[in-house]
Amino acid sequence: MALLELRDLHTFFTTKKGIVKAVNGVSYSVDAGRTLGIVGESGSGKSVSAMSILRLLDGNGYIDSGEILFEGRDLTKATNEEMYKIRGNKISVIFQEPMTSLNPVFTVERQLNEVFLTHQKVSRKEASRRSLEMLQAVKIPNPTNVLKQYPHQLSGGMRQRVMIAMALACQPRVLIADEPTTALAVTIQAQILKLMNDLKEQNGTSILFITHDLGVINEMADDVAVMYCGQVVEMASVETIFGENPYSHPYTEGLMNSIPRLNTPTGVRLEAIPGAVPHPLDLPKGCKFAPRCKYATSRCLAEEPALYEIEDGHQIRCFYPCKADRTRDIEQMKEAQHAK
Amino acid sequence: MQNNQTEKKVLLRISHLKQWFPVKKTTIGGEQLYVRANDDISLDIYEGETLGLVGESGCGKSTLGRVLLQLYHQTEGKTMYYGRSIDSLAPSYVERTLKGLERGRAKLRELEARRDQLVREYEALDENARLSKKAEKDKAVKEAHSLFLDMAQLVGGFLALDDLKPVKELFLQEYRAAAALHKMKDARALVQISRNALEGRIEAAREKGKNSASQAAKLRKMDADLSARDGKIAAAESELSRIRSEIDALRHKYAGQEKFDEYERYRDTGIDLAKLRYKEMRQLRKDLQLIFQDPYSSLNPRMTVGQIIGEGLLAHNFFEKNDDRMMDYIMKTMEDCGLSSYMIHRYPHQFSGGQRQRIGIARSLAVKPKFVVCDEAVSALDVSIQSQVINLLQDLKEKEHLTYLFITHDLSVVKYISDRIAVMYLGNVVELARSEDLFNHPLHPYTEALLLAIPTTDLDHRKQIVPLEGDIPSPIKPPKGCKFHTRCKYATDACREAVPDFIEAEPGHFVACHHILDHKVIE
Repeated sequence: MALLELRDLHTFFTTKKGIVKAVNGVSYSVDAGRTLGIVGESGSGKSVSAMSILRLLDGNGYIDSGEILFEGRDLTKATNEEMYKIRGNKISVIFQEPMTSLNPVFTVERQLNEVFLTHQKVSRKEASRRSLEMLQAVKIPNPTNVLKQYPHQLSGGMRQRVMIAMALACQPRVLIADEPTTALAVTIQAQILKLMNDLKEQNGTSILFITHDLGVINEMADDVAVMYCGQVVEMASVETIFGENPYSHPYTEGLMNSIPRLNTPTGVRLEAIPGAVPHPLDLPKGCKFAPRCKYATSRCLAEEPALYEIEDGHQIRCFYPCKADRTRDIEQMKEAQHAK
Repeated sequence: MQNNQTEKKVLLRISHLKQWFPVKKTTIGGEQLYVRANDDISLDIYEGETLGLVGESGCGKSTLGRVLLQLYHQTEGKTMYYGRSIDSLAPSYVERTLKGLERGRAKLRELEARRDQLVREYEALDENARLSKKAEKDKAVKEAHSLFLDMAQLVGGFLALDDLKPVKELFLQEYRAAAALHKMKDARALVQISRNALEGRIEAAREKGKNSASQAAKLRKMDADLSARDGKIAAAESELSRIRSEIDALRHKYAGQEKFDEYERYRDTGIDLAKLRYKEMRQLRKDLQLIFQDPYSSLNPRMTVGQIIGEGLLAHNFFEKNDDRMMDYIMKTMEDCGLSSYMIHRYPHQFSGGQRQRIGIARSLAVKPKFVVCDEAVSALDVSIQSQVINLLQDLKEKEHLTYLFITHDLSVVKYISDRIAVMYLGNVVELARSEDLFNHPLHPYTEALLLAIPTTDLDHRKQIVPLEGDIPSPIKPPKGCKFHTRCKYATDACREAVPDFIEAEPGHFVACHHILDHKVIE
C-alpha cells in the first residue's frame, strides 16, 4: 500500500481576478522507500500539490476537495495541532533556496535544535548532541564549528546540507524536496544528489522530488509524474518515461525532444514546443495542452481527456497516446491537405 | 602571438587578461586584497563561431564576458578587437604611444635586460628549484613582451631602427589625418540621418496630399551640404593615402633587414579595447552587445518595448528622434525575434519570461552587433521555452553572421550550441577545445569531473554521477600552483608548486595541466 497518496486533490487560490485552480484534480502516490519525481514547467502546480500535503499554502490558498492519505489517514481532515506534529517529524521539506529558508539571525545549532526540542522530549544538551550527529551524517566538514555559525557564513552547498540535516533530523517517513539543487552549481548539485540517495538508502525514506530538470529526475526518481496546468498528464516508471515506449503524452514527448542531449548533433534544430503555458485564469476548454500540441484534433479542443491506465503502471491523459498512430495520422492529414 | 589569420578570421584576441576587484581592508595598514575574478586568460574568438564558456558559479565566467565588453576596466592584459580597423576609430592611445615612442623603447631595453638576466638564472637552476623561480621569470617575460607589443603593433618593424624620430613624425601625421577623417565622417553621418528623417516626413505629408515648399527647400539645402562634405572627405582620404604611401615606401626601404622583418610581423590593425577612453568605447558598443540572464530585472519597467529597443538606436545615431522609419525598423526587429509588432507599446510586465528574453535579444540585435555575449541567456527559462529561445539565437546567428560568447553552466546546452568550449575554474581557462573533442576526451581533470557530475536524460548513465568533492576555494587567496590541486585526485608536488602553462596539447585542443589525462571518460 502506498505510504502517501493524493486522491483527486484540488487546491485553489482566491485572487482579485478570480479563482486560480493551481492544482486541479491531482492523484499520485509515493510507496515506502521509493522516489517519485514530479516534473513540469513553472505554474504547472507541482510545488503547490506537494505543499498542500503539509498545508503550507499562502493565506489565499485552500484545499477545495480531495484526499491526502498518509499512513492510512486523511490529512485534509487533520486539525492544526495534528499537522504541527507531522510537519518536520513524519513529513519534512527541503526548500529551493537555502538562503531564504534558513533564519539569518539564529545559529545553525539553534535552528537544528529546534527540531528535536519540538518533536522529541529531549534536553537542550541532548538536542545539541543530536544536531552534531546530523551535521556529520550530511558530511559537513568541521561540524562543531559549523554549529556555531550563522547561515550567511556558509556556502550555498553547505546551507543546503544544513537544510537536509534539518529535514532528516527526526527520520521522517516522507521527504519533500522542492527543487533542492536548482540554485546550486553542477558539481555541488552532484554532491547533494548523491547525499540524498545515500541517506534514502540508509533510512528507507520516501522522497517526493520536485524539479524542472529532466536530467536530475532521471538520476533520482523511481517513478515520474509529469504535470501540466495543475494536472498530471503522464505517470510511469522512470524507465518507461525515458526509455523506448510505444505510448506517451505529447507534452512529455515535446519536453524530451526540446532539451539538447549530449548526443544531439550540432546544427540540428531543437524541436521546440510552440507557444507558452496558458494563463491560469484563462485555461483552454478541452485538453489543456491542445493549443500547443501538434497532434491536436477538434476533439481535443472540445473535450477534456481523462487520466487512464494504458498499460500496467503507466497512466496517460490523452486521446491519442500511441506514438506511431498519431504520427501516421498527422502525416495523412498533411497529405490530405496537399491533395486539396 | 602573430597575426595569423590564414584560416579563420580572429574577431577578438584576449591575452593575459586580468580582472581583480579590490576587497575592503579590514585592518589599517593591512595588505590590500583582491578578488581574482579573472587571472591571466588568453583566448582567441573567431568570427562567426559560438564559443561556449562553462564553469561552476563563482569561476569568473560572467566577469570575463563583461570585461570583454569593457563594462569593467580590466586590470591587466590586452583585448584586441578586429571587427574594425584602427583607422576607422583613431583612438587617442595611438597618439600617446607614438609620442612616447623613444621613452618607451628605452624602458623596453631595460625590461629586456632584466628579463634576459632572470631567464639565465632560471636556466642555471635544477628542476626542483625552478618550480619556485618560474613565477618571477614568467612575470618579467610577460612585462617586456607586453610593452614591446604596445609599440610594435602600431609601428611594426620601424621599432628596430636606431633613430625613431622621423618615423614617429610620419606616423603622427598619419594618425592626425585619420582622426580628422573620422571626425568628418561622424559629422556627415549625423547630417545624413536628419536628412533621411526629413525625407520620411515629406513623403508622409505627400501621401496625405500635402506639399510643403519650405521642407522641400530644406531638403535641397541638406543635400547640397552633404555633397560639399563628401568633397572634403574625399580630399582628406587622399591626404591620408598619400601619407600611407610615404610610410610604405619607407617600409620597403628597410624590408629585408632581419630585425625589421621580425618586428614587422607584430604589426596589427586591431583595436586594443582596454586602452580606449570612455567615449571611444561607446562608439564600439554597437558592435559588442550583451544579452542578460534575468529577463525580469534587465528591462526597465517604466519603458515600453518600443522605447527599450529604440534607446540603443538613438544612442548610436541610427535614427533621429521622432523619425517614423525608426518605428518600422523596431517592428521589423521585433518580428525577427518572434514578437508581434502590435506589442510595441506594451510594458515589460505584460510579457511572459520567454517573451521578455526575446525583448532583450531584440534590444541587443537592433544595433547590428558583430559580437554578442549571451550571459546565461536561457538559464532562467522553462524547458519548453528554453528550446524556442535557443533556436531563435541560432537562426539570428546564421542570418546576421554573429559571433557569440555563450556563458552557461548547463553542459548539454553548451555542447549543442557551441563550436568550441572553454572551461573555466577559479579565474582561469583550464581547457579549450572543439565541443566534440572536449566531450569525447577531456584532457583536464576538472573537465572530466564536470562531465561526470552532470545528470543526463540517458537511461544508461543513470545513477552514475560521480560528484567532485569539496568547495571552490576562495578567489581572494587562491591555492598556490595549479588552482585545482586541492580537489584533484591526480595532484602531485609539481601541481602544488608551479602554475601549469596553457599549452596546445593536440591541434586546437588547449589545456593547462601538469598531468594531461590520457584516457576516455565518456563514450
